[in-house]
This record gives sequence, C-alpha cells and structure tokens, in this order.
Amino acid sequence: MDSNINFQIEPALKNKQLQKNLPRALKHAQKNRAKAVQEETNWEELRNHANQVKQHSLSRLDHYLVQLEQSLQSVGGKVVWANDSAEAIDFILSLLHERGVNRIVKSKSMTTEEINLNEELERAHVTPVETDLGEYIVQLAHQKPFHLLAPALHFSAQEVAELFEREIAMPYTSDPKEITAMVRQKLRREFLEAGVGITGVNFAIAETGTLVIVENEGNALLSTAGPPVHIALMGIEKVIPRLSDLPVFLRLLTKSATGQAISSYVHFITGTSQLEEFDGPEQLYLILLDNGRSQILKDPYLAQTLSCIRCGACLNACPVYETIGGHAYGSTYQGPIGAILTPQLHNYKAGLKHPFASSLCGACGEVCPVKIEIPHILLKLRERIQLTQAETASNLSLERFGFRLWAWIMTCSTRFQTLSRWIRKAQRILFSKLVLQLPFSPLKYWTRNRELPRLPPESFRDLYQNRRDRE
Amino acid sequence: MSRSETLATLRKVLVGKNTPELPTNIPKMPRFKDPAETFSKQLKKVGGIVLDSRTMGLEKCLSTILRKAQSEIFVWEGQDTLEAHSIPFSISRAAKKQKQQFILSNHPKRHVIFPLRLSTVELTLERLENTTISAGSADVAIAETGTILFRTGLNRSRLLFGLPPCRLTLVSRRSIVHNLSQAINAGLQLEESSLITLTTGPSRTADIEKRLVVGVHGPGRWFVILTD
Repeated sequence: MDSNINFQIEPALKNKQLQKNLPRALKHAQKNRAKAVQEETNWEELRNHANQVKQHSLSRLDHYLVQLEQSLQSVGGKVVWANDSAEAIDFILSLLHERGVNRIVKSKSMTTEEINLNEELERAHVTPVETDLGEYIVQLAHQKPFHLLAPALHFSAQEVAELFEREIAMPYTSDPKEITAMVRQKLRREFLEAGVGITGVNFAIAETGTLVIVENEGNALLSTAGPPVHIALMGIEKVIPRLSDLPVFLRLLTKSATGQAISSYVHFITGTSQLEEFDGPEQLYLILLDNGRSQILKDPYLAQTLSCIRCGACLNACPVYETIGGHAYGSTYQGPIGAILTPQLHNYKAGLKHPFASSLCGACGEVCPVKIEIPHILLKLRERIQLTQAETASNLSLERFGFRLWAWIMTCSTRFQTLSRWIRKAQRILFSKLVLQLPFSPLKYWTRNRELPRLPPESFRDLYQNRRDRE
Repeated sequence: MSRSETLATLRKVLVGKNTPELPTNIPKMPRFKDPAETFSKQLKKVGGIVLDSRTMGLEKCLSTILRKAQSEIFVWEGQDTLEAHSIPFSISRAAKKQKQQFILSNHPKRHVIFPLRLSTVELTLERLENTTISAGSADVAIAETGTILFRTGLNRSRLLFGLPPCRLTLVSRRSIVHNLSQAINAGLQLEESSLITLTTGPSRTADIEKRLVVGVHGPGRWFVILTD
C-alpha cells in the first residue's frame, strides 16, 4: 500500500502549462463520452442493470470467487489468494525466481500500481517493462500514473520527446506518430523475449473462469502471446457471475471511458494454451487480491464503492481533478473514485483528507456508469474520518464553536446586519492578502490560491430601503 | 492459508446481509436492417478498410490490399481459411499433410491470380516479425461495432494475429450478427480456445496529448474482405 498518502496540490496549481492543458483534455474526453451516451437509447437501463449485477455479486462475493476458482482450474489455470500487497508480491517474486526470470512485460493495470509491483520487482533485480505507451512514459519518468486511463495525460509531446531522448537515447521528435512508431520497434523484442507477462483484469466471469481484458494498443495481447507464463492480478471485486451480462458492462465501460462503441481489443482468456495452439502461455496464474477490499464490504452503504469498473469518467467530470490533477491525490486511485476508495482501502488512516477535496457538485455521481453514489459516500466518509480521528478532536470542537457562532449571528437580524455592516466597512483591511495570510487567520489555507470575493458596497436590505425611501 | 482467511473474512462481513436478485432480463441491444452494411460503416469509422468481393471480385480485393500494404506476401492461417471462403489454391501433397500449417502465397508483382500457389513455412520469430500481412478468417463478426472475432486454435497464432503491421480478415456475410449479446448467445465456445479476441479496427492510442495514433503494438492497417 502507499506509505505516504498526502495531498500535494501546490505543484499542480503552480504549473501553468498543466492549468491550460488539463481542462482542455478533460473537456475533450467529456465531449466524447456525452456523444456516445446520447447515441445510446437505453443508457439508464444499462446503468441500472450493471448496478444490480454488481450489488448481487458483491453480496455473494465469497460464492462467486470460489466458483471462479473452480472454473479457472478446470481450464488449466491456477488461482492464488493474496490478503495484501506483500502476499501478492511474494508469490510473484518466488515464481520469477523459480523460473529464473529477470525481465517481464506488463500491460496497464492499476492493481499492480496499488501493490507497487514495479518498485518491488526492481528491488529484487527484475526489470519490469511497461508496454502501454502512457505507462511506458511514466515509468521512464519515474512517476505514478496521472489518470486511471491516461497515465501520461500531463505530458506534452515535447516533454515526451525530451524524456525519450534522455532516458533511452531515442532521436528527438515531438510528433506523436513518430514517437509511437519508435516505441513499437523498441518494445517488439521485449514481448518475444520476456519470461513472464503480467496483466490486470477488467472482468472475471465466475461461470466460465474467463478473464476479460479490455485495451486499445494490442500490448495486452502481445504480453499474453510471447511469454510462456501469464500472471493476471485482480481485485476480488472484479468477478461477475455470468457471461451474458458482459455486453452491458462493456458498453458502459468503453463509452464512459473514451466514447468508443467498443475498445479496439476485448480479450477473453479461458485457461492456458491448448495442445494444438501455436503459442500462448503454458501457465496461467490468477492472483485474487483483497488488500482491504473485504473490509469495505462491512458497511452496506459504502460497499457500492467496489462496484467501480475503472472507466475514469468521474475524473474527467470532476472540477477538482481538473484543477489539481492526478498526482495531487498522492495515491494510486485519483479523482472522485480515488477520494472514496483511498480512505477505505487504508482503513481511515490518520491524515487522509481525500473525501474533503470535493465541491460536492455531484458530476461524478451523474456520470458513473454503475451508479455509485459518490457524492453521498464522500459525505459519509467525511463524517467517519472526523469521528475516527482522535487527533482532530480539537479541530472538531473549533468547528463546533464556529457553527454555534454562525447560528447565533444568523438567527438574529440585528446581529446579522450589524456584523455585515462592520465587515463591509473594514473589508478592505480584513480581506487584504496580508491579513488573510496571517498565521492565525482562519482563511489562511483557503485563500492561498483563491481570491476571497468582496462584499458589494451595499447590501440587498440597504438597496431595498433606499429605493423605498426614494419612492 | 490466505484463501481460507480471505473467504472467512468475506463470510463474516457478508453474513446476514441482503442479497439483491440477479436481474433476469438482459437489456435489449440494437438490431439492423442490413448488418453487412452497418458492419462496413462502423469499421470504416474506426479506420478499417473494407473491400467487398461482390463488387470487386476476390482476386482484385487481394491485389488492392497488397498494393495498399506495399507487400508481396500473405501469410495465411491454414488452408481451411481459404476453403471457408472458396478461394482456389494449389498446394503440394506433402505440405497438405502437415498438421500445423502457416501458408505463404507470394505475389511478386502485387497482382493476385487464382488458384493461389501456396507453400508452407515454419513460423519462426523472425518470420513473425517480418511478416507484413497476416491473413485469416472470422467465424463471427458484429455489425453494431464493426468488430471481428479471432480465436486461437490449430494454425491460429496469437503472435501472427498481433505482431504484423497489417492484418486481413475474411468475413462471410452470413457470419455477421447484430450485436455483442447475439455474438455471445450464438456461442462463443470459450472452452474451445484459450483466447478469443474481439477486435475492432487498427490498434490505437491517444496517450500523447490525446492525439490519435494507429498501429501502436498491434496492426496499424486493418483490412476486411466481405465474402458471400
């Protein structure tokens, strides 16, 4: 798990290029999604259906995981259960050691990010090669993904060109077409020579033991074509009972994510390579990762967090994400879904501020294809974090005092009018940058990157009274 | 150990919780008046090139693809691909007997004349890397999205499907279904192949500045010939 989860909004706010480019990129994604959704005549029906299927499968998760295990075993796969990151890592490292593998290929997977797989592999002297273009960029830059779906969204083409020139001595070009062609050549042999291919899983079908992987580049295909061993890592919540529900999920996923009617590739992996097949892995391992998920199921309301299909639509719609970007969240999962998933996966560890970083505008809930009530969950988590963090008790009493004072003022018109008159007169001094940034100023943090709006010279009451007097 | 632990935790947290029913009806998916026409339209939208053997004839379709791909060789996934689409060919008796067959047809002037003269080859990594056009057949295609279904099996290689820069798929009009649900209901026969892939147009990415680029890792040129 991430050891240091803290909000870091300053770098993003100061990055002028990001402040210009990110809103544009997200608007583009929003537009594509809106168009795709508009073309769908029964979008709400699909959302409701997916929501029901997820609720059902989460309520019987133990049953479906066992069914998935049996189905997968019957087609030659092996299932590994991992309570936490350490167990998943241990298994992967021991398998690589046993087979003498020191180079692996990886296709994009947020779950491998969650367990810090790359760092752990490198520590064990195994070279992980990210093969998704965006992941390859952030790997070379020693960064974490910026967005669930577009890991290198924050890079300009020039920055990618400079990075590739510096890190892998690629001739400088800022043309995405040329960069992509060179990366294709560069990674070709990696697929053929790697000892193991590691992928994530989008959906696992309990009744057939099939692992469904959705992608656009073809790297997941090649990561499971060349290497003799395939390791698939998935959170336990990814299992769905029936194959017949999959078309609904696929429609919702690709339309929400990129606005595509379907992604370029949808792979159905059912077991190991069969006798007459020319290639494909001889061994298939599926790691079922808990890592805090079973605890999320405890609360019947919060359990819906695990319905997420990682489409990224809530990130694209979020005004907070648009302003602070993905790295500000300091955790694997960013944006609104990250804000509700992170504190739950980390058992409300002290210092988690994620659910507070929201304007509660509700856009995330509206776009969620599986109808996770993100804004309501944010509120519930705020409450829970406040109550569970003993160290914030003093803040809590300060907050209570603040609200009591507010109520005292607001429930008496004389008090309200007198106070607002004073503030109006003194606002030039009170709201000056100098005063607001004083160490004891209650608005110190809020105004660091924002302008505090000034009160108009006359209140509505004054305007009304003056007008009546004139008449 | 972890298995029993995880399951025990799950059972503990789930005990006594409501189990909402699985919905019985799957939402209806769209159907089309002319599935073949919709298939072509949708595939062209995502950058695929669709040729119709009815209007052009198969020989001309294949010649066109060779020219567009600037190649002289097709690597075919076994002679059953050619038989399924009534493409005349000649092959030596010895080659016919080989179980695993990857077949070359060579067209030095980029001009295809039937019957195809075929030779079998051992599929080495070098051959795979240098193959320009891999050619196969899809037993199911989906009109709504312009998707073809690839399955592994005898003479069906994941690498031959995914590595070359160009891919040709022969699709019989009869095999085009309306939507994904229908494709699944028609029987994906998952247990028969370790990999089934639904593929829609060329491999693509928008990872750099959201600008679309085709041909990242998989084929960048995607040809389909519609046959009867």
